[in-house]
Amino acid sequence: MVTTFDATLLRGPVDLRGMRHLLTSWLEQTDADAELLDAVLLATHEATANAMAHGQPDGPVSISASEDDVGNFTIEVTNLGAWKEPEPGHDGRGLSLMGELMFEVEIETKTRVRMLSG
Amino acid sequence: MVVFSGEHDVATKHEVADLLESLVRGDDLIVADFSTASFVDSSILGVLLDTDRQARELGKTFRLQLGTSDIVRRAFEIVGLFDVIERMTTREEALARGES
Repeated sequence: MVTTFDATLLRGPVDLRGMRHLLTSWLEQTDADAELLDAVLLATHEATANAMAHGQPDGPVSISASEDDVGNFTIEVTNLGAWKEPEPGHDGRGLSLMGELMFEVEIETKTRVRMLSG
Repeated sequence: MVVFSGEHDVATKHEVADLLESLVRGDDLIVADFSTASFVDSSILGVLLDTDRQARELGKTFRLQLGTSDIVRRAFEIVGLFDVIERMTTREEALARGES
């Protein structure tokens, strides 16, 4: 069975808690065990926070996740606006979390992050 | 002692940083208790590493108290916080004086 999760976050105060709760509710309906659920949740949060840190105020961020028929997840986080340098103090810890939690992370600079579990 | 329960992420990192910085300036031993936290992200982990550095510069002790939430423990492990900051599992250990 293939199921999908889709959300678009508009810019504004950075509030990712609502997205995480929706994503958790969706993941609980999938075949993901607790460890995989945690990995998808944290990696998706980090990719989204990163996209929002790099986004313009008017640029929304879209998040989509799907489970394939063998229980692997694909997550895509796309910055729909222009790109800017993040505020000072931003660093690569989010990327190392994504890399450790996911089987594969593809970064299309300034636009999209695509992650595969496995 | 600061207890972080529930979810902590980029939305509150400045408040967390300000709070920990004021504690580091005022106290000799600072414990951040994450044993009832359900989520932390990389920005909060970065604040904890900054706090540890400030504490060392001032000759203070900064410790973490961790519980059993897997997602929180994994985030701490991946970013390598346990290699840098002292990790305790009980309040008694966390508040004990002296070297550990």
